[in-house]
Parts: sequence; C-alpha cells; structure tokens
Amino acid sequence: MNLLGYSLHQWVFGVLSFITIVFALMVVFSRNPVNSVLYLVLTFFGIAGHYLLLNAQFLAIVHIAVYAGAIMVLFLFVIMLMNLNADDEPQKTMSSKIIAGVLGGLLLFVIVGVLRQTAQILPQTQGAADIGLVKTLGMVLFNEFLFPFEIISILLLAALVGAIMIGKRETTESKL
Amino acid sequence: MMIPLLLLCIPLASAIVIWSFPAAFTGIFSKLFAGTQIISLLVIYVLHFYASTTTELQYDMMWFNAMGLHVSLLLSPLSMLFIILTSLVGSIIVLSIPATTSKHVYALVFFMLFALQGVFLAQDGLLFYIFWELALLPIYFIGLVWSDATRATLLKFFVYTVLGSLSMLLGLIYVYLHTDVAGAHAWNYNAMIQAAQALQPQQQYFVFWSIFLAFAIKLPLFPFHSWQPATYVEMPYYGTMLLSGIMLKMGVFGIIHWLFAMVPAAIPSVQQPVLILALIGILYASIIAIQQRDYKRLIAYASMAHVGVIVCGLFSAHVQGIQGALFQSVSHGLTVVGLLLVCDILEHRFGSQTISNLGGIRNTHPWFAVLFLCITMGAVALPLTSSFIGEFLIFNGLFSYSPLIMGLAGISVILGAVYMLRSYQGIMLGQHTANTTATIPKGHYILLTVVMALIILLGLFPKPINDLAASAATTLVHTLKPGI
Amino acid sequence: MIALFIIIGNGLLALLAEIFKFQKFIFNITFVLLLAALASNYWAWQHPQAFAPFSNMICFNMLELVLSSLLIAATILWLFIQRASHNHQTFGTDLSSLILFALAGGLLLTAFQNLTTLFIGVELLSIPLYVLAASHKNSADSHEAGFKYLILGAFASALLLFGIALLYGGAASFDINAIQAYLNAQANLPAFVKMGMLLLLIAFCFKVAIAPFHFWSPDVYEGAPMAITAFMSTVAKTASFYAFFKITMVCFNAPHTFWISMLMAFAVLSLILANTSALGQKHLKRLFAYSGISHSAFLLLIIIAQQKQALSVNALIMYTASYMLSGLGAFAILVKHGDVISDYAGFAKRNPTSAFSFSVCLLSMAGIPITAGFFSKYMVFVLLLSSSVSIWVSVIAIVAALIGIYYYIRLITQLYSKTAEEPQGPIQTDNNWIALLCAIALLVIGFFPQSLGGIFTF
Repeated sequence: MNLLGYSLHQWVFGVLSFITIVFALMVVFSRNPVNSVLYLVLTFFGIAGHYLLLNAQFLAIVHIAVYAGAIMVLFLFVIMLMNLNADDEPQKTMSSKIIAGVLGGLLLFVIVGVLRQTAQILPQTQGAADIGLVKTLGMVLFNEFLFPFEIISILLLAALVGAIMIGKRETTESKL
Repeated sequence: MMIPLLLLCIPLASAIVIWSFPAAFTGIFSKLFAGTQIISLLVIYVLHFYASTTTELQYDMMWFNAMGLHVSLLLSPLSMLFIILTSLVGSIIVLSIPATTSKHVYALVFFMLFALQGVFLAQDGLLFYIFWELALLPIYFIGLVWSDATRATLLKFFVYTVLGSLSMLLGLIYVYLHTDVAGAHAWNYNAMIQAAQALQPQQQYFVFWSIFLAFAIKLPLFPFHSWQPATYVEMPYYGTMLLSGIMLKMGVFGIIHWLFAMVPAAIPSVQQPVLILALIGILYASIIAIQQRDYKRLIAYASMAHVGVIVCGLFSAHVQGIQGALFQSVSHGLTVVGLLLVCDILEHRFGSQTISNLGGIRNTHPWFAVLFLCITMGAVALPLTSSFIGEFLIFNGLFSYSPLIMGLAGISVILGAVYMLRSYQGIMLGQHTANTTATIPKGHYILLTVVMALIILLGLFPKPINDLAASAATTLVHTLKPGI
Repeated sequence: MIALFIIIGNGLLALLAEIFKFQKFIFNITFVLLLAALASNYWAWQHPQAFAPFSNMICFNMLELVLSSLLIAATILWLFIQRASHNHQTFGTDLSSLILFALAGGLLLTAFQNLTTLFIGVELLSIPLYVLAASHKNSADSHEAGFKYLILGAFASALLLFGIALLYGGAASFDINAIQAYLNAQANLPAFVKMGMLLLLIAFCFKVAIAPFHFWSPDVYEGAPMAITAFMSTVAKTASFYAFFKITMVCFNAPHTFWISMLMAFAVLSLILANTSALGQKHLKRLFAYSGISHSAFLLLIIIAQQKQALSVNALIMYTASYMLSGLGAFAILVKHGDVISDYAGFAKRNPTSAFSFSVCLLSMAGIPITAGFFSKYMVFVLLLSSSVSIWVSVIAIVAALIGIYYYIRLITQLYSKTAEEPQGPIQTDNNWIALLCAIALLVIGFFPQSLGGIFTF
C-alpha cells in the first residue's frame, strides 16, 4: 500500500518520529516540571513505537513498563513532593544560551549531515522475524553477553549504594 | 676498568656518609673527604699515564635496555682536565665552608661534585643530560634553604637553566633517533657523533643551536646572562664558587666534547655569530664591572667577561685557541675561587663588600694584601700567572681566525686590569682603615695561599695541564678539520 | 580475571559489613584482598591463559595484567591516604564498596574486548565517583562538584554511546577485533563510521580531561573531598586513559588515521591552556587539576605518535605509574595539610620529611632527573620525535614542560621559603610514610627505569 510514494511503514515511521520529536521539545520548553514529565512519558511511548517498528516487541514493552511506568511515576512523585515550580528554575544568561544553541546546532548539523548517508550503506542484516522475541533476546543475553549482563548488576548495585549514600542523613559525622 | 667509577663513587659516598652521620662528625668528615678527593685525584692522575689501553679508563654497564641507555664512562684527557679542576676547586670549596653550616650543605656540595664529575665522564648522551640536570638540584637547594637569595632570583636561575637543558634534550634526542647501531638507536657517544656528522647541514644547524642554548645559558653568553649577576651575588660564597668555579665549565666541556664533535660541519658558519655574541658579552660585562661598587657583583661580571674570552678561544676553532680555552678554564676556576674567598673574608671579617666602605687593609693585614694581590694579578692575566698562558694561547688562536676580533677581545685585558686594579686599590690601599681589629681565620689564609701557589705554579710550570689541553685540542681539531 | 572477581567480591563483602558488624575490620580486609588481587595477577602472569572465561568480552593478557596491577597498587596506596584524611568521611563501608566497584570499572576499562564491556566499565568507574564527589555532605562545593561531574560525565557517556552505535552501524559488531577487521578492510570509511570514531574519542577526551573538554576537572577536583580527588586524579583518570589507549592502538590504528590530527590539536591546546592556567592558581587542588590536564596531554602524545608498539606500551606504563605515584604522594601531603598554597610557606621547617617527599613528587611531575617522571617524559619525547608528527608539537611540549617546571619549582621554593616567624614548637614528625613511600618509589624507579620501562619487548 503506497501513499504519495511512501510505504505504510515509512508513513508510520515519519508520523511517529514527528510526534516523538515534538514531545521531546515540549519536555524542554514547558515551564511546569509536571508537564515536562508527562511529555517525557509521551516521548517514551513514541520511542517504544519505534522499537515496535524495528520488530523488537519485548524491548517496546519493557521500555513502556520500566521507563514510562516506573521511573516516570517516581519522577512525578519527587517533583510533586519537592513542590518545584517555574520560579525555582535557575536563570541562564543570554550569552550562554546563545553559545549553547550555536554549539548544539552545529553538532546537530554535523550529525544530520553524516547520517544522511547511512541509508545506502547500512549492512543488510535484517534478521529473522523472531529477532525481537524474548527467547532470542534471552539466548543472546545469556550466552554471548553474559559477562556484561552480570557486571551490569554490579553497576546497578553501585548506583543503589550511591543513592543511599547521598540520601542518608549524616550521622557518622565525627567518628574518625 | 674501575677508575672512572671510582671517581664518581668517592664524592657520592662522601655525600652519603656526611648526610647519614650526626652533625658532630661533619667537620672531620668534610676535611677527610676533601683530602680523599685530592689524594684520589693524584693517584688517578698518575695511574692514567700507566693505563696501557683505554679500556682501563672505561666503564660500561647496561642501564635501561629498552631505551639503549648505558652507564658509560670514559676518562679521556679532556675529562681528566676537568676532573682535576673539579676535584681541586671542589676540595677548596668544601674546606672554605664555614664550620657552623648544616651538614646537609656539605652533603649537597659533595653530591654536586659527584654530578659534575659525572658530566665530565659521561660517554652516553642521556647520562650526560641526567648528570647535567642533577648538578643543578644541589645548588638550587643550597640557595633555597641556606642562603638569603630571594625566591625570584632562584626561580629565574632554575627555569633559565632548565630551559637550556630541555632544548638540549630535544637536540640530543634528535641525534639519538638518527643513530643506528645494529638496527637500534643508541645513546653511545661514538654512535651519536657518527649519526650527527651524517646529518644534513640544515639539521646540523638545528642540532647545534638547540644544544648550544644550554651551554650558552650555563656559561653564560651575552643575551642569556640575565640570571647570572643576581644569582652570583645572592648565593652564599661556596655556592657562588661552585657556580662560577666549576659549574660554568660544564658549558665549556659540553661545547668541546659534544657540540664540536657532533656537528663539526656546522661550526664554520656559526663561528662568527657566536664570536660576536661573546665579544659583546666581554665588552658589556667589562664596562659594567668597572662601574660596580659591590665587590661580589664585580666578580660576577668579571667572571662573565673571562668566560667570554674562553668562548672566543673555543670558537676560533684553532688548536691553540681551544688549548688556551681549556687551560684558561682551569685557571679561571682557581682565580675566581680565590677572589670569592677574598670577598668572603671582606664581608664577614671586615664587615662589608662594598668597595667604598673598605680601604687601608694593607696596613693591618700585609700577608692578606700579598695574597690578594697575587690573585688579582692572576685575574688580570699578568705573566707568570696561569691566566697569562691561557689568554695568550687564546689570543694566538683568535688571531689566526681574525685579527680584528682578537683586537677587540684584547680590550678586555685592559678593561680587566682597570676594574681589578681599581678595586684592589679601593679595598686594600689608602689611609682610610676599615676594621683594623678584624682577624682572618687561619684556614682561609691556608686556602688563599694554596690558591695563590697553584696560580703561580701553573704559570711557571703549565705542563701537566697544558699537555692534557693540547692532547684534547689536537684530537678535536682533527675532527673539526674536515669541516673547516 | 581472578583479580576482578576478588575486587567485586570485596565490594560486596564491604556492603555486608554493616549488617554483620565488622566495619572495624573492613579496612584490613580490603587491604588484604587487594594484595590478594595483586598476587592473583602475578599468578596469571606466570600462567597465561590458565583461567580466561568470557574472553570474548574481557581478556587479561600480559599488558592488561600489568596495567590492572598498577591500578590495584595505586588503590592500595590510596586506601591509606583515605584513612589519613581528616574530612568528614569515616572509612565507611559504603565508601569502600563504591571505591572497589570503581576499581572494578577501571579493570574493565583496561581489559575490555568488547564495546559493551567498555561502556559498562566507563559507567562503573564513573557512577561511584559522581556520588563520592558529592559525599562531603555539609559542603555546597562538594554538591556542586558531584552535580557537575554527573551532568558532564553523563554527557560524555551519551557521546560514547552514540559513537558506539554509529560504529556498530558500520562494523555490525561490538567486538574490538571485529571492528578493527572491518576498519582495515574498508578503503573508504563511510562518514557515519568516522563520526562514530570521533564521538568515541571525544567522549574519552572528556573522561581524561583533555582541552577543550576539560572545564569540569578543576571545579570537580576542587569541590570533591580531598581523598576522592586523589582517587579521581590518579586511578580513575589512568584507567580511562588505558581504555583510550587500547581503543586507539588496537582498534582504530592504521590505515584510517584521520582522527590523529584532531587529537593532536586537542593535545596542543591542552598543553598550552593547562600550563598557562596553572600559573595563577592559589589552591593546590586546582593546580593539580591543571597539571593533570597537562599530564593527560602528554599521555595523549603517546597515542598520537602511533609508533612501535613496545615503546608506546612501555612509555604508557612508565608514565602512568610515575603519574599515579607522584599524584598520590602529593595528595598524601595535601590530605593532612590543606590545599592553600600560601599555607605551605616554610613548610620544610615544620615537616622536613614531608617536604622532602613532596619535593620529590613535584620534581617527578616536573620531569627532573633522576625521578621516574623524567624517564616517562623522556620516553614520550623519544616516541614523538621518532614519529612523523611535526617537530613543532615536540617544541610546544618542551615549552609546556618548561612552564610546568616553573610552577612545580615555584611550589618547592614555597615549601623551603623562609617565613618571618620561627616555627612554633618542635619539629613535627607527622610520619607521612605514604608520601615518603611514593617519593622513594619514584626515586627507585628512576634508578632502575628498566623495571617498569622495559617490561615489553615484543
């Protein structure tokens, strides 16, 4: 099925990308932190849609469940508890905004310029249809990538300990 | 085999022993080790005539295999000459240090003698550099901890010197990377000379100037001299003696042993600029010396002028000029130490080193006046003193290069006579009496007498030193000749 | 490999300490286990390939064993610095476990065979340090340091990840050998792969603080607790540099060397910026931050020279070892005596031994013979001059080294300067034996440069 010379797949991709980018921009531009978080949730949905397009169903589900579901809810809680609002936002000077904008724009320009070529050169490793299934993923994860998988647990543990350390009230002040 | 190693070990061992024993032993040990230094010098001087082959005067040990670095030492006639200077002047310096000084100073001075002898013995490019840098540290710390030298002066001295060293390191590494001994680079002296001589003229200039910068700063040559006067004046006496008596001879040695040997082809074309710099330095320093009121500062500038003459001799690239420069290096070491000893006595016994505050010392201290006069005569290169022979040879060599330059350099002798004799007159003669009750310690009298004796002895009987200088100069001119 | 397991196990054990009430022993346990890790590295050196699981992901060959041993040894020294520090940190269990996890990250960085391991290593090294930089609870500076480090570190991680993704787009593999094979096989690289390589390199420039990506380092070093700064500036930076070295030497080497000119520009910029900025500093932590940037640039020169494997590797070992030793020695002093330079006037009168150790460390940083620092700088210069890199880079490096010597010597002059008032009370003997140990080690390595600078002759 073709529409204006593009396949359905391409149409879906285009619309999804557009929505994702718009929501991502809204995250940055919205004044109210709560709105930002909600837009972020929507952005994650957009990204999950991309995973689906790539035939990675498991990843899409996990992405929604973990990011949109768990983490964003936590974010919301934190923001509401801390009662942040627009006034608390630190003000940047105009010059630093301009410099950041120019540099970011340049990086974007270079990356976009470079990525325009990918379409022709990308290796054609369109795997089997079951590439995104839990079973396939599990086989890869627990065979080839077992070591990184295990080490990531240490990484998470380190992050956990760190979070507790930061959050803990200082009680061992002068025990030295 | 072990002779060069022995020369290194004696001062190092002395330094370690003095440092590790309590301060009560310092006085005895320092005298003992200064004596050892002299005796070992005599023994080695005699031995080196009986060395049947050069291998007995060599030492070689692998040090850093991965970088082709050896501990490689050789006692050549040239090294022998500078070792004589170091041991002789070094012992005098050690004996002249006031007894109340911390034992660390003695240890540092001995350590410096070790490094200096290392510089003169090293037969390996990087080892030479390492000793060169090591010689800087003790004098820096002496100035830092045990003197009134300001921080700015010391910092300038250190950074200036290190600027030269780093530039030299660049040049040495550059040559090292062109060496090829069985497919690998080597720091070996002969390999480096071969490699450097095979370089293109353009590369040779690069090597020459990058290495020459280090020597020019150390000497110091005219535009690189700004660290010198303040450092000489603010250092304690033994520090200044080390700097001017021995340390600046590292530059002379380096020019002859490394620079001339490595890039002889570049010498003819750099001869003129260097000679002109040296000439400017001579005249500039002499004129400033005439105006000095402070005797120590005067010696600093006088030293710079004398070194200019030595450099003129070297860069005449004539056998007599080089021979004279070598001889004059020893002679200058002796006279400058003598003058500084006098200056030390003036400041600490007569209370001042400003010429106008002094006078009439001759009336109360006749023997001191005689000694001082002899050393002053040595400094103005009067016949019968050692400097006369050195300067005569230098001017002889210079004449064969350019009579004009010789003539200009000759002015320095006249100017030298002006400032030396005027200062002598101001300090010793006249009716105004400085401090009649001042007593000069016996030790200083003995040291001054020894210095005076050596100056006159070398003037009358220059053969031991002159033979060494002649043999070094002749070998050198042989390597230079193809280029000239 | 066993060393990695020991270190991770040690980190887990440290977490249990508070539950089972053996906090008191955790220092000793850590010390012993790290020694055991060193011993296991020695065993692995004697029995190559005896125990190498997951060798497609991580592989400890001879070089990796040496480098990881250096990291472990530096961490052992660091433990004592931490114990001696007078900040608000006790030798907490959380602190020790975080440091051990960071060290494990460092080991991953030295021995990775796969870009996933590399990325996890970078994170495992960084995340504990983000936390530890902010661990000085009552100091706003510390919080700022942690936050800045987190934001910029995350930014660098993002660049790294993006670079890896682009590289994967070309090579279709995360394995560094596969990527190398892919790069070698391509006559013309597609632009996005080049972009990926550059992003990867820039991310590492962030991590090792190479200008123009160095702005975080003085602020973070200054704000973080002293002992943490010591760890960041020595172990963490060195570990990141090992990964940098490996990715460039193993993965990105010839025929595609377009990135060298970029790194060369960065190195030259760092040499100039870091050394000139260091001149005006009043605080030692900032001074060491800038001098650390300069040292990173010197290390980068090893990569840029792209010469003879054995020589580069030896230079890397020598340079990082002397850098870590002199840094740790200096921080062992700083931890006790603060970081305000003007407080160090007349320091030598009060603490002659510490002043000696500090001076040796500074001389080694300056590269004065006969310390280890001299040989490391010398090896870099030999590498650089023997490569095809323009001689002007060497000249700039020489000038930078000279400026470096200026501020190190100025500091030594400060230590030995004469103060107006006499020192109060008797001479302190603060037994700063860690600093002394570092100083002696620097001198011993200087006397026997072959011990570290000649390990590899392949």
